[in-house]
Amino acid sequence: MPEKQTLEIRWHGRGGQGIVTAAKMPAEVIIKQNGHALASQEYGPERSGAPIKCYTTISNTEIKMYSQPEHPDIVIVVDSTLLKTEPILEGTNENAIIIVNSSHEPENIARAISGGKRKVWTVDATAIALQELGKNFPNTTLLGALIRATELVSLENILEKVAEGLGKKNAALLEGNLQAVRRGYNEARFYQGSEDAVPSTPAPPQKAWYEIEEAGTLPAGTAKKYSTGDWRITHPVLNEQCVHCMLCWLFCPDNAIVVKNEKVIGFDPEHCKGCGICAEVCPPKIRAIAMEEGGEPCEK
Amino acid sequence: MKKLLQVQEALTGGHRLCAGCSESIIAKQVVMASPRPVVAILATSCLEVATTIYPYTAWMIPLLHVAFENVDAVASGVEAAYLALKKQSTLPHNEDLEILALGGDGGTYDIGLQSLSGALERKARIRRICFCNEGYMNTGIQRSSATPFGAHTTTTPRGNASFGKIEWRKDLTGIVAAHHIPYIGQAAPVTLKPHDLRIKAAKGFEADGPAFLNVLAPCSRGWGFEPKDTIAIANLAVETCYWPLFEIVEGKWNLTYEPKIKKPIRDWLAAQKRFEHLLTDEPLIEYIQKRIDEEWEALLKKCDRK
Ligand code: SF4
Ligand code: SF4
Repeated sequence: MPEKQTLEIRWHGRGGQGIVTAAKMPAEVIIKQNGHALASQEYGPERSGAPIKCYTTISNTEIKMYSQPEHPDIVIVVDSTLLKTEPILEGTNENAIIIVNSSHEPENIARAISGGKRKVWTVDATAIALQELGKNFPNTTLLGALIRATELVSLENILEKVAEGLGKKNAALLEGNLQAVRRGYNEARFYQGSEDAVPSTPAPPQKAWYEIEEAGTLPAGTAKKYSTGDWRITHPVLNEQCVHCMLCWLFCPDNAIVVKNEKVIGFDPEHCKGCGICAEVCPPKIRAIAMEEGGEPCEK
Repeated sequence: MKKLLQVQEALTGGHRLCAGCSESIIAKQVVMASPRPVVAILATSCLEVATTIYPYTAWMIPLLHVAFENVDAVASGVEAAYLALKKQSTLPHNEDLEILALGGDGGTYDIGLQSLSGALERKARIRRICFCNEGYMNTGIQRSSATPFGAHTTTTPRGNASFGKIEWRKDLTGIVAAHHIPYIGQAAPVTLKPHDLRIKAAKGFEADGPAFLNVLAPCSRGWGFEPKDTIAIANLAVETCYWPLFEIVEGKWNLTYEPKIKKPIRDWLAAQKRFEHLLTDEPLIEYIQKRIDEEWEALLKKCDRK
C-alpha cells in the first residue's frame, strides 16, 4: 500500500456563483485518472447571495470519511467580501494555502486575515472572467489558480475536463472558459507568509449546539443587526423623478426603502440585497430608481 | 398608502431569504392588513428557515414555529387556548387577536393537508396563508403537488425520457372551497393591481370563521428568472390566466381582476428556465393552453361572468 495522502479543499462562495460545480471539477479529473475524490456541499437551503461552503477531498487511497473536512489544506475564497464575514481560516494551520479572488497583492490579503502570517495566493478572477466571458463567473479562473498552487493535476487535464463539461451545453462560452483557466494559472500571485509576523487575535469560538438554550424565546426583530448588505452586486440609485407613491416600499422584500416624513429618501445599505425589484415596480412613466453595477453602499 | 406607513412592519431586514424573494413581500403585505394585533404560527418552510436563524429573528410579531404538517392544528389550538383564557379573564389585556397560520405549498398542499382540512371543518377562527412557490424549494427544488405540468425540478428532471412533471397541479383553492368557509382568496404580489393582496387579507381578517388565501410566490431560484423580475412574473401569471385573481365570499365566487387581453401561455412558460425545454414542443404547449383555457372558462362560469 502506498503511503496515505489526502488533500482537503474548502470553497467559500455565495449561492448562485456556481461553486458546487467548481468543487466537482478537480474531483472528476482525479477520478478519471483512477484516483479517489469526493465533492460535497454543506447541507442547507441554497439562498442566492448567501454565504455557502463546498468541499473537495482528494486521496490516493479509498476515501472512507464522508463527513465534511474540518481541517482543510486549501481554502478558496470565491468572493472576497466573505473575508470580512466568514471564518475563512477556521480549522486551518500555518501550512494551509489560502487562494483568494482579489485584485489585491497576496501580501495585503495575508496581512488583513492573519497579520501577514499565512500563505496566500491571489488572482483577479472577477476581472478575468468579465474580460473572457463577459460575466462575473470567476470559478474557472480560480480553478487555474488552484492547479498552479498545488500542481494537483496537470493544466492540460483540467482544460480537457472543462472542455468536456461545457462542450455539449455551451460551446459559445468554451473558448472563454479555457482562456480563463489558463490566465488563472499564469496570473496567480503568491505570498509565502512570514514567520515573525504578528499573529492576529483568533475569532471567539461560536456556541456549540449543546450550549444553545432549549426552546427559548427571542426578542423581536434581532435580524436587524444582521447585515445582508454584502449580498449586493448591484445597488439602487434614486433620482429626483420620485413622486413618493410608495410602491417600491410596498414591494421591497428587505425593508430597505428608507422613508422619512412620507417621502422616500434612500436605501438601507445594511439590508438592501440589490435585487432590483424597486427599480422594476417604480411606475414606467416615472422610473425614479436605477440599478447600478457594484455593491457600493447605497445612498441613504 | 400613506396611512400604511404608520403600521408596524411584520418583518425586519436582515432575514436571509434569497435576494428578490416574494415571500417576505407577501408576509409583510398580509400582516399590514390586520386591524388587530397578529400572532403568527409558521410551518417549516423557506420563510421559516430564512427568517429565524438563531440567534436572530426578523419577526416583529409573536411567532410560533411548528413542523410542516401541523400548523393548522397548532393554530386552532392557540385560538382555543386564547378564548379559554379570555373567558377566565386571566389575560393582562383583553383585546381581540388575529391568529395567522402560514405555510408553503409543502405544508399546505401536501403534508399539511389533513391538518388544514380539519381546522377548516372545525371552523377555527384562523387566517391561513399558503405561500405557493410550486415546489419544495427549501430543500433543493423538488416537485410538490402544486408544481405545474411540464416544470423541471430535481425530482422531475427534463431529459430524453421525460419533459418534466407529468401530472397537472392540484386545485387547492377548489379543495378549500369545498369546506364552505366564509372567506377564500387567490392572490399574488402584483403591480397590475397592487392592493389586491392586501385587500383580500383585510377581508380575511374580518371573516367570521376561517379565512384562506392561496398566494402565488414566485421563486427566482426554483423557477429560473432574475430576482428583479419577481413581480413581473407574478403579473404574467395573472395576465395569462395561469393564476387568476378571485375570491369566494360566503360561497359567492367573484373575479377580482380580468385581463383586458389574455396573454398566451407561451409568454408565461418562456419567462422561466424550468419550462425552457417545452418551448420547442408545440403540441405540449397547445395542450397546456387548452387546459388553462378550460380552467379559465370554468372560473368565469362560477363567477357568473358567462
Ligand atoms: S416607486 Fe418610484 S415614484 Fe414611487 S416612491 Fe418608489 S421611487 Fe418614488
Ligand atoms: S434593490 Fe430595492 S427592492 Fe431590492 S432590497 Fe434593495 S431597496 Fe429593496
